[in-house]
Formats: sequence, C-alpha cells, structure tokens
Amino acid sequence: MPDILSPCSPISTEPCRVGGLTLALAPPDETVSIGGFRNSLPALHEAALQALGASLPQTPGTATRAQDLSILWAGPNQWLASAPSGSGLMEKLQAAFGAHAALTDQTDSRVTLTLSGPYAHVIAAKLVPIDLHPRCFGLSSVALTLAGHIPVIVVQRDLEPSYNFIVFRSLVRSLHHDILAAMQGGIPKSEQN
Amino acid sequence: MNDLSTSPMSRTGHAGKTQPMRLARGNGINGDTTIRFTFDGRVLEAHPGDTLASALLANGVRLVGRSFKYHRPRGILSAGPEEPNALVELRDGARREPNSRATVTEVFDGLAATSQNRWPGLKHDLLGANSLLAPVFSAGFYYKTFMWPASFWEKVYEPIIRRAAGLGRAADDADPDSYEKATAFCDVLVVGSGPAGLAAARAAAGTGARVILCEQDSLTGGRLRAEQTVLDGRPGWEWAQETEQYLRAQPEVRIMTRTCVFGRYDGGCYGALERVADHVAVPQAGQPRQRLWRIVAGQCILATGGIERPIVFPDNDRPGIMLAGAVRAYVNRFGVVPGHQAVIYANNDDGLRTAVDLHDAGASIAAIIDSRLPSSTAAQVTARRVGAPLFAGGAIVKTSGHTGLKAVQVRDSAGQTHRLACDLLAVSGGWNPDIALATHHRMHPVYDEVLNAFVVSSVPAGLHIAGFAAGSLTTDAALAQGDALGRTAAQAAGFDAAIGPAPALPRAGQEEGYAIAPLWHALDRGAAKQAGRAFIDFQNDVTAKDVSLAAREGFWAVEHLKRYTTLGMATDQGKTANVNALAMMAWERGRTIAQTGTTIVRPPVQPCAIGALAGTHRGRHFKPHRLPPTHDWAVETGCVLTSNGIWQRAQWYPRPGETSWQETVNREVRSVRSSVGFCDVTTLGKIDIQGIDAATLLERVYVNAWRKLPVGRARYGLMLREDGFAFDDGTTARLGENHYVMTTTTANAGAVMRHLEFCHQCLWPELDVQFISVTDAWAQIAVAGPRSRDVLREIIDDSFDLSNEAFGYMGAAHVRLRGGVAGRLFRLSFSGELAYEIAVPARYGDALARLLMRVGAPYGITPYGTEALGVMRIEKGHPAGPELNGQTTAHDLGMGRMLSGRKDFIGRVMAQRAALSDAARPTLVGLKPVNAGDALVAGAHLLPRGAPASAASDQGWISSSAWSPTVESWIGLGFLCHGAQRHGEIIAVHNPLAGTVTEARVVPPVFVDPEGSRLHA
Repeated sequence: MPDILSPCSPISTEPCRVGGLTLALAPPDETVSIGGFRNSLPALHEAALQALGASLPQTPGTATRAQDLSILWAGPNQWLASAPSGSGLMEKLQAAFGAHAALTDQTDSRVTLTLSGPYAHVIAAKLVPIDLHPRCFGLSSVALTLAGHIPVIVVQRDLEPSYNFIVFRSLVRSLHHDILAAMQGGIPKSEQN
Repeated sequence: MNDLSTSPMSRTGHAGKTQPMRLARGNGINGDTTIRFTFDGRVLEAHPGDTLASALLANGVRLVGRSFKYHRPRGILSAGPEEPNALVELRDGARREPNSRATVTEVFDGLAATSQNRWPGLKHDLLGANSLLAPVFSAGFYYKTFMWPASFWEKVYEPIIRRAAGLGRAADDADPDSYEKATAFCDVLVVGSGPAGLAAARAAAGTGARVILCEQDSLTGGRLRAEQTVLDGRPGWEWAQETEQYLRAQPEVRIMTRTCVFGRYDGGCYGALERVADHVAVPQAGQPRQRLWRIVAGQCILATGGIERPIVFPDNDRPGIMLAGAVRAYVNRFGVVPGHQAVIYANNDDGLRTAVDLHDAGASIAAIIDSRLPSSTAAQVTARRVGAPLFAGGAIVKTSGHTGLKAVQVRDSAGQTHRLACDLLAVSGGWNPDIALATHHRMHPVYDEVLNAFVVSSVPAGLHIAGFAAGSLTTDAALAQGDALGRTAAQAAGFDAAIGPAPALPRAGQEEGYAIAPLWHALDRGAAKQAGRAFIDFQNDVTAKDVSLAAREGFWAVEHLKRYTTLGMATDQGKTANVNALAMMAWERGRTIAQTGTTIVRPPVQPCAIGALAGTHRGRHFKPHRLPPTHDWAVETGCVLTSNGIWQRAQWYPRPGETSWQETVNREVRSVRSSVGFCDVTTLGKIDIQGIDAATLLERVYVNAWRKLPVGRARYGLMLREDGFAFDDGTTARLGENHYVMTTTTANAGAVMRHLEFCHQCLWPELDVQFISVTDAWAQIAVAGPRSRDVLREIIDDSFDLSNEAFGYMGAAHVRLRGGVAGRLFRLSFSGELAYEIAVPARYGDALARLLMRVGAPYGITPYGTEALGVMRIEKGHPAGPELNGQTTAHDLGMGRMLSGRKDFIGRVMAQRAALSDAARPTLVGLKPVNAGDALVAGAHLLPRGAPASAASDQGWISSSAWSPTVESWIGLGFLCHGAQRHGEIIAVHNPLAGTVTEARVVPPVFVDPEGSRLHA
C-alpha cells in the first residue's frame, strides 16, 4: 500500500539568489543525536571508531567526517550525526553502539540552509557572532550559537567558503528571512578592499 | 579630491555668487562637480566632499539655528561630531531626522535641510523672548518654577516647555529605511585615522595581525586634512591618502570609514556605527541606511585625537564665533573661508596657526588676542606675518551683531578697550584629549596641570592610547607613538613585532608649539559677575552664571552640577563644555580642577539611532516566528492566527456565513463534544529522555511517582519549583524500558528543558541519563471527540488494535500509519472527550491535517483552534497558564494529594511550609454566574456576597473564563479562600475595570462529564 502521507518541505526548495550569493534548502539528511551514557563512554568511543571509522569529537566546537557521515560536537558527550537520506543512519548507529548511547532521530527536527557564493562569510558575520576567519574556523569547526534571536548550528561546508545553518524546523522561515535580509543588505564596503 | 589650483588665493570662478566664501583649494573637496541642496527652502550649491556646515559657510550662511532655551541665534562652532549648535532637520517626510549635526552631515545632491527650534522663522524668532525671561530659566528652573501646583505639570507646564524648548521634530511615519548588524573580529582595533592611528595600523599590520581601522569621518587623515602640516616635504594629507592605499592593499587590514566606535564593552567588545547611506538621498534597494557593528578586538589603540575648547566670555555664542581648529579645517580641507575679517583669540600657540591659514587663504586678520602675558614668540612672529595687531594679555569682553558677529570689544592688558569690526572670531581655549572610550569601564581621568586637560589615569588592559589622546603634542610625536603602540598591541595579541618591514615614518620637522596657559573665563571673578551671558554649554544654554548659581546652592559635586544645570546633556554630551564648566566650578569653590574632578561618560560617544540598535528585528520580524507543521494548511483554510510565545497557532477556523469568532468557537466545541475535531498540539514541549536513570530523573523532578509506570502508558505529572510553587505540568509516556517522552506546556518548553539541564549538569551529574528536545521532530495532532476512534481507523494500520480494551485511556504506542509511516499514538485528552494525540515525523504534519479533513468528512470533522481548546479545558477544569502562574501551589490547584510522601523531589521541602497549604489560601474552584449571560472576566475579584467592593473583602480572583456552549452559560475557573468547602455558595464577582458586581455560584472546577466516562469510552 502506498504511503497515505507525502512529505512536505518546511520552506520552498527554490534557491534564493542575491547578486552572486545563493541561499538554498539543503537536501534533507538523516540526522541522529547521540547522547553518550556516562557509564559506557569508553565503549562508545571505541565502538564509534570500529564501526564508523570516525571518532566522536571530544573537543567542543569541532566536527569529524568520514565519507558521507559527519559528526558534530553538540554538547558534553553529545553529538549530532548526519548522513544522506536513505543511508539508514539510525540502524547503523543502533548496531554500532545502541547500548552505549541514547540515539534520537532528529531528521525532522532540524533543517539546513546553505549560504554560498562570494563573500558568504561576510553575510554570515551579519548573523552569527562567530569569528569565521580561516585562522579560527574551518571545515572541522562547528559553532552552536545564535543567529540574531534564533539558535543555530553553523558549519563550514567547503573552502569557497559556504556555510550550513542548521536550525529547528519551526524556525526555518524566520531564519531564511533573516539570512535573505542580510544578503540584500549588501557587502560592507570595508570588505571590498 | 585634489588641488584644483596652484594658487590658494584665487577663488573658484564657476561657483560664482552662490558660494562666495569658497576657495580654490580644499584637500577633501571635489570642486569639479557642483551639487545642489536646500536650507530652509533656499537652493544652494556645494561640492562633493562638503559637509552641510562647510557648504553653508561656503554660501555665506552663518545663522543656522536657535538655541535650546533662549532661542539665541547660533551658527557653526566646530567642524566635527562635537558640534553643539548647528543642529538641523535633514530630509523630509518619513525620512525627516531631527538634531542632525551639520558638521558631520555629508551634503548630497538634493539634500533638504531645515533649521529647527525657531518660530516662525530663523531670522525672526518670536520665542527669542525667552531670552528676556532668563531669570526664570536659570539653573534648576525645572525644579524651582514648575513645582507647584502638582496638577499643573502635565496639563500646563509640560506642553508650554515642550513647545518653547526642545529640539527638532521627529518624523511622524515609520522609518522607511532598514538597518542591520554585523560582527567583526580583529587582533588590533585602531580607532581614529589621524597620524597616530595610521601609523599604528601600519605597524600592527606589518606583523601579520588582523587590523581594523575605524574612522568616524568620511575621509582618513584626521587633523592632517585640517592643517597645513608638511610630512617629508609634502602635504600631510597626501601621506594619509598614500598610507590608506597601502593599508587597503594589506590582506588582513580592514578600513572602515564613516564608522564611529561609540562604546567599549566587556571582553574586548566594541560597538560601532557605520553610516552606510547617510551621505546619499536614499539607500540602494535592500541595503541598510546604517549598520551596527560589534567589533571583537584582542587589543585596541585609541587614536581619537582631541576636542578643542571654546573660551568663556560675554556673548561668546554669536554666529561667526568658531573654534580655531575648526576654522583651519574649513580653510584647508573644505576650501571655505568662514569670514573676510577675522579676529583670533587664544590661550595657546596652536590656535594662532589659524591666523596664518586664514591669511594665506586671503582673509584679513583684524587682530590676534593672546590671553597670555607675555605672549609667546610664536604669537609675535605670527602677528608680524599676517600683519595684525597683537593684544598680549588681552581679553574679549563683549561682542555685537544680532544674527551674526559684527564686532568684538577687546580689553588690552592695560585695561583699554578697543572695538574691532570682524565677521569671524576664531577661539581656542586649548584642547581636551578625546579619551571617552577609555572611561567606559569606569576609569576616572586625572587632571594634567601642564596640558590643562583631563588625561587617562591608568590605561585599561587591552587598550593603548596614542597621539594627542595620549597627550602627544606634535605630529612627529604622534606618528612615533602610533608606530610603537601598533607593534606593542600586535605583540600583545600574539604576533611577532620584529617582523614586517613597514615603510619608514615620515617627519614633519616643523615647530608645533602649544604653550598653553589656563584661561577659564575671559574676565576676572568680579567682572564676570557683572557681565552679560557667557556661555559654557551652548547646546543646553548653560552659562557661567548658572554654574556659579549651582555652586551657591550646593550642587557643586560634578554629578550634581550636570543634573542641576543640564550641563553636558543631549546630542553633544558637553564635549566642548564640560572642562570649562568644571574649571568654573573649581574657580567658584576656590579649589583646583583636580580637586573638583570630572564626570565619566557612558556609551555611546556619539548619538546612535534606535533603529540601528534594533537592526533587522523590527515590525513583523521583531521576534522570530515558530510555525507548527500544519501552518500552511491552516492559513489556506482561512484560520485566524494567534501568538503563543513566538509560536503562531490557529486561534479559530471561521467558516463561510459565520459572523463572529464566538459563533465559530461554539461550533468547534460542539463538534468535538458531539462528533470529532482536531488540533495541532506540536507546540507542546517534547523531551526525549533515555538511560537507566531516566525514571530516577522523573521521580526527582515530578511530585508524583513514576517507577511503576508500565511501558506503553502515559501519566500526568506536576513539577514544582525549588520554592515549592507549581512550575509546569504535562504528560510523560514510557516508550521503552529506559525510554520516556515528556511533554511540557507550550509556554514553559524552554524553561523545563533548562531546568532538566540544570538538574542533570549541576545537581545530579551522577545520573546516567540523556535527553534532547524533539518538539520540532514530531508533528503532533490531537484528534478528539466520540468519533475520533472511527477517524483514526482510517489512518492507523489495521494491524494496530484501537479498541478501548487493547488501547485504553493513557495508552502510548509506536504505530504505523497505513502505508508505513512510523508514528506514535497517545490516548490523551485535554478536551475531556475520547481523544488521541497522533505524532508523525514533522515533514508529514501538513499531509496529516489534509488527510484528517478527508477521512473525517463523513463525521463532520472540524479543525479547532486555541480558543476552542481553551473553552474545553476550562469546561474540564484543567489548569493552564493562568492557573500555573508561578504563585499557586499544588494545594491551591487541588493537587495536594499528588505530592508523594515516599520519595524526594524538587520543591518537596519548601512545599511543606505551612503557608503553602494553609486552608485559607485561595484554592481552585469553578464559577457559574447566577444569570448564565453575565460574563465572567479573568482578573475579576471574588468577594463574599454583599461585601463592599474593597481590598479588605477580597477573597480571590477569576483566572480563566469562557462562554461554554456545552453548559450554555459563562463559566470560570478561579481561586477562592477555603474554595473547596464553599461549593454551592453564591458570591460576588467584582470587575473593577468595568465597575460591575455580579453574582456567581461556587461549583466544583469540572463542568462537563465530572465522572470522566467520556474519556474512557
């Protein structure tokens, strides 16, 4: 029997362009939060390495990647793992260390907006109070912060640089508005030396 | 922006009559282009690079505004942000902006400027009569004159004062422009781009440090543009321009012009305002008018220079009396000579340079008045060079010219007075280092007897001060100090100061004397008392006599002086006034200036528009909106939305033909009670809790017991705060052996999450438990009503047994929907009917609402909003926000017996305080008006029947009320003393807002199905 429900995107999938900048809804990943149980942390880290080939980053503000899997530090003994849709991430993690961590499906909880194009870092600086200079923030960085009034997780996607803003689904339209407003606000002259 | 002519003496031909005071050259002016602006409707010409002040002066306009209290004619005093007088309204319509300083307003083609604080016109201002009432407007006049009778204040005094005083008019309409905020990071922030700032930025950049150079002006160079300083044989401003270009080519340097650093905050944070589009008529589409920067800097170098002081003498406020340094700026940078016949009055050598610059520009110098006796060699050389008489030890005792200076009266050192015709008086009382930013962390400046100014007492950590701000008197010294501190700061930020071959420093090599001698009033004390008004604070019309009066009346502490006389208030914050006033106070009290002390300043150092502080967060976007998964569908149906915190929820769903919200809500309630309805309840907080200690956590945060809750069941729980009062309630379901999902109220979702984090991180870190919010992960919809099971049968996979026997009240289960979507089903009821809450991954929420409409159609299904939800929960007596208001206890809510005696939990001990379960406390009751149609209003007070409507007879209040279509009466929930024992009693309901008293019967707080049989159907 076909599904009686079809999924609905929380915001238009059509990218918005302002000058060379683009704001787009990223394809929905599968996302699982990992909350390590305090009594089995060594086993958890070991199992992650063995089964995923990736370590659960222990330093705040850092992320690890292995093939399609990315693991973001999300709090003390908490991580957010993402992999492309259809990769069966929850099952994989369950099999790897289901006994050592609370695994919670966050696929529908959060939505990712991608900001890309020249000066994306300048636009991002209008939203988050994070030093995005290459000396301070890179591909293995993650920031849990506020974009204006909206809690976001920021990661740098590539060296272009472009950024992913991971936001609670219910807030994505407000964040989309705020990023778009920042894009329309232009590149400060002092950045265009 | 180049020299247009090799001859500084020749006037530009093309400007013709419209710019009679324009010179051929001006290092900051593009004379090739002419633009037009209006002042009080008069069309005038200017050049790009002009400020409104320089353009007005170029056109011979001296009278620019009227003063605040006395409506005295005023002109332009300064050439910078310290301007107290030349305040105008800019633009018109919704963009009208009052109190704009003409000295920092860049002229653009089409700019409309209007003088303010005058009626009917600038030249003939009737309120100038205020001047005659001067005795009334003396220091403290607010407190003395308008004290009595009190009732006159709002109706009589205030409107009069507002009309007579006050500054410009704000726009009536909303600001059409946008503003934004941004954050920037650097290793070294340099504030100010004069010689010290440029040298500092250059040196710091050479080490590889990230440098931000902020300049509030549109051009870099600072005083190098205002003076004829020569560096290595070339004009100083050319070096500034070259250095700016050099810096712009450095990869880690950022130059921000038109950006005022207005505040210094904790942790190396600085606030700065960038005037992005103030210099154009209308910002580019979408772009902001101004941008508020938060700059996070490892180190900061203040190279903010100084602010010149006027001299206090009688009638020192006429248009045409200007600061000497400002006159040089107009001549050298703007190519404007502010007068044909000038007198220079100074107590230092720096001010005398004005005579040379004016003379070289073609003005004639009527006299140089040097307050020093004997005067300096420089003064004598200068006087000879410009061919002007020198009055050593002279003083100006009087000036004349009603709307513009015509003459000054000079008293020479022998006591003889001389009348000198002139249209410009350039004054210099010395310079104050601009150290405002250094005082934002409560550093109290100290008085330097040599410099005759306040200087920093101790340089705060992370801050360095260079150039005149640090007391460096010459260009060479400023360059050297900036260069050295640039390296020092970079080193402190972790860079190697030895690397980086910065270009060699240029040398001025000129004699730049200062040789200041204190001069706080032109006259001696006795003469000063007899003389006319000598202004100290031009913006607030505070005179020397006002300061004397404040001293006599005991307001001699500097903080009192400020508040009593209004000294140093408003847009200029007394930048040109404060030190003169402190000196005057010291003089009055026979103390030194050091003993008198100074006030310190708070941010912002320059006015900052509220719009810039708000940024993009205005109007609809003041706060973000959270949208539930069914939002789009609900809006499509034409629902009315309401805010629930930042959530936007459907309040009711009107149908065609319904004429009032009440009609709609009644239908929604009846539909649920008789058949079926549904409501998006995604907004309730949902917290996923896992771990072997999950049950222990629940036991400790809830008042009731959780260990024995079986898997597959949910339970109502109540949380207390540590102080024993009710905090939040909701249901928690057990989904697995060590897996629970907790729900909270919509309003407290964040607060409960914080509470759990606090409990886990601080109180019981030993608990092996993890939790995370899943509020956004699940679309949760309540399906309620006697036909709800029939509707769900169309949706839930057949393999799940929905029968009452298999899935009873408070059941919780993982379910599959037809076709396979995994969801959760809870048999919970807020409405009191047979009801379910079905949860699906949020992406399916929209489709679920549409599906419910389709499969529920045969049963007449209706979506219902928060109003119907509220009516039904009141009908069932369920407490919500108005009852869980932070002041009620479990006992008050009728839940005292839920408090477990067999375990410890948060709030247990404090809840046992006798006062919290006192039988006399108001406790939850139901209320029904004796006449069903008498509206009950939340907030109304409950009184014994027949008692007077007074606080003494107050026995409680109504917390929630609604018209119940089920009971066909108004109903209410409320708190009443001894409430539980008073069911059946008739009491009085007093609504103090409407002034009504009606009667209501106290009833149990459950109006519908008190046995709960519908729940269990």
